[in-house]
Amino acid sequence: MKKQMIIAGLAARPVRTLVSVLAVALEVTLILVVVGLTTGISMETAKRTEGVGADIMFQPPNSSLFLAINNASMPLSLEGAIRKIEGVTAVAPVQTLVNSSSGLEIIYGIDPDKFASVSGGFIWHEGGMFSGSDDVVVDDVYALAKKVHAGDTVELLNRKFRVSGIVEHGKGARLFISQNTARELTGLVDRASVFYVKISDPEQVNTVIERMSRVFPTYGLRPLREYAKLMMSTSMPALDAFIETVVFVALCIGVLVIFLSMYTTITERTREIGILRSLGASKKFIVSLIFQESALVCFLGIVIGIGASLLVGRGVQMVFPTLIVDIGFGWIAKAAGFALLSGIIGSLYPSIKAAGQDPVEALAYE
Amino acid sequence: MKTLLETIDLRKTYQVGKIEVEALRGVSLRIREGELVAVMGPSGCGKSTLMHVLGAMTKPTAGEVRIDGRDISTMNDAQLTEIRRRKIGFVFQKFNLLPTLTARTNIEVARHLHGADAKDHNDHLAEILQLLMIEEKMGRKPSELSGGEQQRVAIARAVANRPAIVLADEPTGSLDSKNSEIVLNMFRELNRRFKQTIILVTHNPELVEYTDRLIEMRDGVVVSDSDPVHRNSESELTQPLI
Repeated sequence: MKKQMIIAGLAARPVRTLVSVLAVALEVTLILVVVGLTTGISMETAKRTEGVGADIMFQPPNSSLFLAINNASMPLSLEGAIRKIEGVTAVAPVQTLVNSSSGLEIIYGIDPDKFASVSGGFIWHEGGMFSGSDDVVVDDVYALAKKVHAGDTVELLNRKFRVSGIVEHGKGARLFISQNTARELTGLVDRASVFYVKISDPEQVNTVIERMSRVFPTYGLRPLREYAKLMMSTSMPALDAFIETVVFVALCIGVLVIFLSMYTTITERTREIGILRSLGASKKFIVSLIFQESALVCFLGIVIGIGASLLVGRGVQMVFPTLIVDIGFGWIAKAAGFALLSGIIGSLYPSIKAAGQDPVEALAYE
Repeated sequence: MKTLLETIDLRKTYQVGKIEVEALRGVSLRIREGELVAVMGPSGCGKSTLMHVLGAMTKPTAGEVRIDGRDISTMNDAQLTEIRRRKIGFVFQKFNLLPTLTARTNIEVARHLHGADAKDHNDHLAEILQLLMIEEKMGRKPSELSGGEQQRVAIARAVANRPAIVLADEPTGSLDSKNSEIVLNMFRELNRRFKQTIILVTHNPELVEYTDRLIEMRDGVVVSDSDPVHRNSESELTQPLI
């Protein structure tokens, strides 16, 4: 019976119902897309970094996990000292550069042989390794996004580069230039932003890190297999704060919309509430009627919001292949929970107000 | 006959701004089971207030209201709600059907609120719908019904759960004379056939001929009562019964 009353009530005011449902859907979409983008990009970057194939990441003191925001660099000469540590089999110095002209792209300045000794080498789709200072190797995702092939020209760091080859994605960066070119572009001679270290027995990674830290006590030494975990939003306070802010704003939107919708509903339906009270409907019945109506609005909004988020995620990836939107079940459940919470908070006051109305006054309401 | 409803020195005062308005000033009366009573008087005489108090919609300021022997004047909101649900059926001047629901669902809502034993009244409801001649209209929404039909649906809703008392506030106030006659005949028929206790509140003198008893009110007090049992003790009607 209540269901019939709720559905009839919502159907009688289709525009308001639609707007309320879409607002809840917007709340859910906002949460899922923003979280999906931040998580997706973080996770994809982490996977790519792990994909380098190294066991240990060796960084300058006080450096960030985000290679793009590291200014510090280390002398290349450290490479020899690292190589001498027991258990180390290969070291690949990388100088990172950031191209911000079209998004935020990390470019690796590498020595191809040393990088291959750690990563096992590239899988080539087209062309081959850079040979000159104006050559760049790009990965297949970048090539797809920018619609480039081997031999085409791309502009990076205000300079034109020829795409010498296209490789399979997943080896740290999407763009690779030679160490010499990186040196020219940064002005830093014989420096490295990070050393990727390969060891003989990956199970001994902590032991090797311990040995390294004795020699390089202030440097950042991280096992690569933990990189993805460290990159997850929960491990990054700034990202956490960002996501919390987005969730809070989305929650506020939901609360305000549901509040407005339910408040106008009970105002418009004051007489109906009076009729129900005259028929013997309890205050609890009225409260539960309003709550269930807002819950149905939220449910429809959640379903549409999840669908819209998945569509937006696909759309983003189609238009911007380098952007990954990772919408996991956990966040779908959380977004649904937040939407329901906004429904509860938003309909709390209207439902109490409706239930508290004097039946005689409610019946006299015009 | 058993006394179903009794008021003792009933008083109701409203606060309108800084002014206190005495809507009821000591009303004492008895309504017996199966009576069809008209409460009449000019606008503002307190008859609607009396109906709201008798219907457990609002509490009196002083005095007692006994329904089936239980004093409802001291009950809390939940208890009053229960009394409305179990004992009272309302019919209003403006029909007060739920506009988004069909006639059938309007009646079902009342039955749903009444509870599980509503099913026991299925045969009764079928008889009522037949009597009110609205069986064919059950799938329609109030906006698709004429005023007379809406009022008949409202009557069906009011009596669907076999309440002890039906309180009708100006039930013909929004109807033309033809529909008024139909509705009043139906009240009489409900009273005769089902022994339904009905109190009609009105300022329409024509309605009186359909009822067994007329209670007249003026300025918040009962000024006359054609109660056949107490016909000769009119003066005591304005005094407390106990």
